[in-house]
Amino acid sequence: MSNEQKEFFGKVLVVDDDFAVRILAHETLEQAGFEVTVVDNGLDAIALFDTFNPDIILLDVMMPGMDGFQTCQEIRSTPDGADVPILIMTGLDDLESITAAYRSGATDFVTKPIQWLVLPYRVQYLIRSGMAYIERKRAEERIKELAFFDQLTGLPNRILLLDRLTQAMTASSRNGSYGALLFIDLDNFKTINDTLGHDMGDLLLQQVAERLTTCVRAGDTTARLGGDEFVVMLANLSTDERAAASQTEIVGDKVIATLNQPYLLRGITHHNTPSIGITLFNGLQAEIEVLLRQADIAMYRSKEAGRNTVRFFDPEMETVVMERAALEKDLRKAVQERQFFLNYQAQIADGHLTGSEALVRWQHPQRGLISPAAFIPLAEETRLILPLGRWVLETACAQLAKWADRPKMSHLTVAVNVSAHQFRQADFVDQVVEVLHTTGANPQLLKLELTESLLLSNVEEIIEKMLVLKARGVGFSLDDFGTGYSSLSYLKRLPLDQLKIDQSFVRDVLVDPNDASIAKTVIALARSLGLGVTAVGVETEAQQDFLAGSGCHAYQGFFFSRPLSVESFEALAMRA
Amino acid sequence: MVVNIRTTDTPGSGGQPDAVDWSVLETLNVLQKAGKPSIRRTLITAYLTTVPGLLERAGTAVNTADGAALRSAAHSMKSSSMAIGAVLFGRTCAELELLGKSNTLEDAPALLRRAESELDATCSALREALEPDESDGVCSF
Repeated sequence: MSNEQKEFFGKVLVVDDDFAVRILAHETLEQAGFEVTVVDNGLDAIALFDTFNPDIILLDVMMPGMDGFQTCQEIRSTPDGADVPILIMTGLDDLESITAAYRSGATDFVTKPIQWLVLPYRVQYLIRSGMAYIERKRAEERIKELAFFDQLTGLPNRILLLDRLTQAMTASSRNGSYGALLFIDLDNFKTINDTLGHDMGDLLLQQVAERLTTCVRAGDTTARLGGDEFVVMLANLSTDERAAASQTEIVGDKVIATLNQPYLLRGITHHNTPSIGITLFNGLQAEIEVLLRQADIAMYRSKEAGRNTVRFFDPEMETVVMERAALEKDLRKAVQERQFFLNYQAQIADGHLTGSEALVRWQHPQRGLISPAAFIPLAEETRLILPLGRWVLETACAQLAKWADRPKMSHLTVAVNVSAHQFRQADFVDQVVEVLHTTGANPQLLKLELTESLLLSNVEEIIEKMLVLKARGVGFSLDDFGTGYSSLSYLKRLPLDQLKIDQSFVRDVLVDPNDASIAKTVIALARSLGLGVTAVGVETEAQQDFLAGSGCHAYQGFFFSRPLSVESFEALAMRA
Repeated sequence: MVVNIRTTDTPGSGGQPDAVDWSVLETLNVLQKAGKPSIRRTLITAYLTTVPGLLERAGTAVNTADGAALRSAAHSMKSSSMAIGAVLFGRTCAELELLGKSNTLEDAPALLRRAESELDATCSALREALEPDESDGVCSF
């Protein structure tokens, strides 16, 4: 060997408990030109593997503690250790060891005593073939990337999108959920290429790609079809078409808002807008190419409508979404302008008026009264329920305080509905305490009505909040018991005062034996837990008689009184 | 690389077979770089300071009838001895290793006595082979 031969290179880790092998391997390989580190046991080898990052490991078999096979297996199981060549050094007479070596993941073996002059060539060969293997693997990954990913943006390309779309359609046909395609085209992109140059156009496309990925969930796909055309595929939306349309529209709006933010292209601030076309899919009803064409057509409608907007392929979905958007806009305004008022529905027990439930009503300036069923779900979805719920609580408590001065009303309770969102706010307890304080309402007369959906998560925290309020005298009832996910074990631990039998059971209590037995069960359950029970939606005397016969003596419903304005309710109370 | 060829004396060239096969250590002369610590010296010094201790451990293992300990000590001695060319002693170690492995220690004391005398011969041969002026760096492994 001479100095001008630089054929040996790479990092070698030698693992052997025999000092003679360590000295000889170290000297032989280092003189040859390798960078060598030696250790005398398996654990040290594993510990050193990450930091030294060897190109090859020479591993003795029989070592005290962890033997060579175990060491080999351990290294193979690490992310970086899967491909490193491992050369096992073993006794010539030991065929068993050789078999075991390959089984534990060794690349090759040498027999002892080792031919030191030959060893560097063997080691170099293994390093080279190991590197070639890793390079080949990388090349294969690169080929895959080229085939399925867009080179400019790194996003999935058309081929991968079609593949994911096929999978999503198949999944949708199994679970019934809707999916959606958003076809996104940048407005006036050609002008950027023409005026600022293709480099700047490419930069813009890269930034658009990055922003798009922030608008979707992990399971969704953002792809670039080519040019300035992108497609976002949403999977696992609602099983209800209208709800799925709303979900998609929210993403569409988010994309528009995100892509409307100014871009900084090499120091130049640039503005751009997208036009988006949406089509929904469910199962395998439509061909993939048809879906893409639908989304494309819808995108052109967005362009025609003045760009920077979203259009659905299905005009009916368009209407649904537009109505929802209009309602949301109005609701926001309504919360600001307080276009709401409260009705009070009487609660009767043993023939006496005991209180009322406060029910929110929306007086829309153009459309008149809007049903709570139409706006409460939207308020929940948009979290407008938080300011709205707060307003309801304040108004009801103020009313309680006013009635406190009236001899015939000072004992009447007021029940206020509290949504799960509202109750889960970190400062909900403080809000209630503050409202009680500022209005001067008697906490003993305030009943908060919770819904079962609240009990889906974090029950401990809920119980804690209830206990704090209960200590101040506030009462609790569970509003729609039996309709959802009520667990009896929770029920036992919640500091409730009352269960309400949902009107869906009361309605058919005389004709449907199932509803009758559910009503009876709730009554029996309430009694055994020491809770009060109120039936909601009592419309006839017969229903009242049945419930009374089953042991329920507190009611609410049209049979006694419909929800009334403050004045009418006051009149009712005076008559009582 | 300038090969620092050392004419190796071959001590122990009597009637009986050599305790050390010097060809192994001669190979090291090819690897030795001028001005670098002597590999041969490093190796021999390490051998002289390590192996007698291992043989003591083997003796204790035989006395306490601990087959596993005998196997482990004998394996280490065998490996190091074969590596530097102490073939005779190395083979005896291999036999001791087998006895330890099968935990049949009846013949072990006799074999151990043979090993002791072979290691004595090996160590004296190696000590003779160390040239007195080779006082430079003994690597510690």
